[in-house]
Amino acid sequence: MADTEKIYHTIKSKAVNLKAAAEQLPKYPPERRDKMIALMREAAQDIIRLLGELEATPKP
Amino acid sequence: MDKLKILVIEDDSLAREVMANNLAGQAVDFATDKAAAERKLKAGHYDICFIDLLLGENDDYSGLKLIPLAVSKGIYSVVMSSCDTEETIGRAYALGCKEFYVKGNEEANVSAIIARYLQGDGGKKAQAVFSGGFITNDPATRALVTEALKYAATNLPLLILGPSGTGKTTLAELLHEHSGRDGNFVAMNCSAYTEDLLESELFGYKRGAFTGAHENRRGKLAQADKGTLFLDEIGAMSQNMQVKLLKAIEEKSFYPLGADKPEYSDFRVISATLEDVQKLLAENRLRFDFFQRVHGMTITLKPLAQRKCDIFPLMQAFTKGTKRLAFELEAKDYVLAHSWPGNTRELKRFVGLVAAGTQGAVTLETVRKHITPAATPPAAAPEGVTQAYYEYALKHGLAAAVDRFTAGIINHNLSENRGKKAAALAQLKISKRLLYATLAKARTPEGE
Repeated sequence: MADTEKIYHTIKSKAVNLKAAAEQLPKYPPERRDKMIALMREAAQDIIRLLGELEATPKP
Repeated sequence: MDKLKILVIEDDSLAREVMANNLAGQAVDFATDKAAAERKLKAGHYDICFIDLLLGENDDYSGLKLIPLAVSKGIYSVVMSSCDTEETIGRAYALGCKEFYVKGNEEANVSAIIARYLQGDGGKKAQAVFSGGFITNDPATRALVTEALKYAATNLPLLILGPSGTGKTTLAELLHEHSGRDGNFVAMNCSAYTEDLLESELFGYKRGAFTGAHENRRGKLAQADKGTLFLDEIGAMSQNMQVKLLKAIEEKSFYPLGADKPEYSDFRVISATLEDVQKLLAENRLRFDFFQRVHGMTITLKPLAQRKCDIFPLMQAFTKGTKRLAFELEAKDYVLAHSWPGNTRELKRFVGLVAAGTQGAVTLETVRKHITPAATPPAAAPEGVTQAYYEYALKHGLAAAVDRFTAGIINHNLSENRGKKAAALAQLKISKRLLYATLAKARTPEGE
């Protein structure tokens, strides 16, 4: 898989995980909620980083 | 039900957290990279393995390479990926994975996968269900329960219909056991409470909420957190209570009596009634919105009279670990001929009585003693046939019962006509031969 394809794939994967987590969050017990939000924040930051990498790649 | 042993091979920490939540109730293990996955697959004994294809940002489908190992260990292998090209899907299936799903709808996908796994487990689990959890040999009932089990691992509400004693609570418990939910199975018969009592039982109360509330008490909704709330006889609930419960079901939160803060409970609802739901709705005893919220999938259980093949297997189950029963042929026939209007509840009582009072094989006399005619509904016997005649036919044979019936009619007629045989011949339209043969038999003592 080409690098760009891998970036697309990882963005898609992380976005999907974020969506699933966001759907689960309202039902989460309070004691696990903070951990989940921290993981979601990490995923969001990864997406931002990957989008930066995409911007840096030469345009087709 | 034993917990399923599941290995999730996933490098993303958020995805692992999501899966942990989706697989709550099962024994879940995680591997975050290929090496750890190989170690765990070789050492562990898993039922199901969820495999992410790309393990790390620079990975080259190492998940695919794990499929043959998982398959060789007899593990039900499921690939989950955001990479859903035809080529990848084809390769995964060629390597032996059972299912491939695209990430994005985990909650529904995971539940469905577990249900399919349980169904397809060589029939072993299904067999275990029908010989233990819900005893039935009736093909239609088996199909119904199997269908219901597909929904066990979802959060969809279920409504179980059927007469009293057909196994509604047993089925609800079975569905809870297969739901993968960690919490308790909490059953409640709504018809057993007054409205006030039902409210405090369901929602609980705080100390001082009413006279006699000396301490805080958790209600059934709280007790069923992460579990299943089974509401039997929902038709007995007042409209007011249905509104309150509907709100609690939809919001997963409620106010215990006397509380100023809501409490939260993640419960799944299974409800049941022996009444005709359409009639309950038509009579406004069941609110339409409440019904819509609780009826999800509807399962109608047949009475025992329509699945007589279950009578003896159920008896065996009721006497498991205690005295086993063997029935003489006539006794067996009598048991099968009975309509069991009280269904399994009546059968259980009968088995208890027979087991306690029998030495050796169970005779017809013992069976007749414990199946009282009062327990037989009038509709069970065809018009004109009394229970006494029916029992006589069972004991002495149909020909003897017909003779007895004939003699009864003739004697009654002779008595009305002061013994005039000509009147009997004319009114009953019978031959002289039959009249005299019947009278001769009546003069001969029984047994000669």
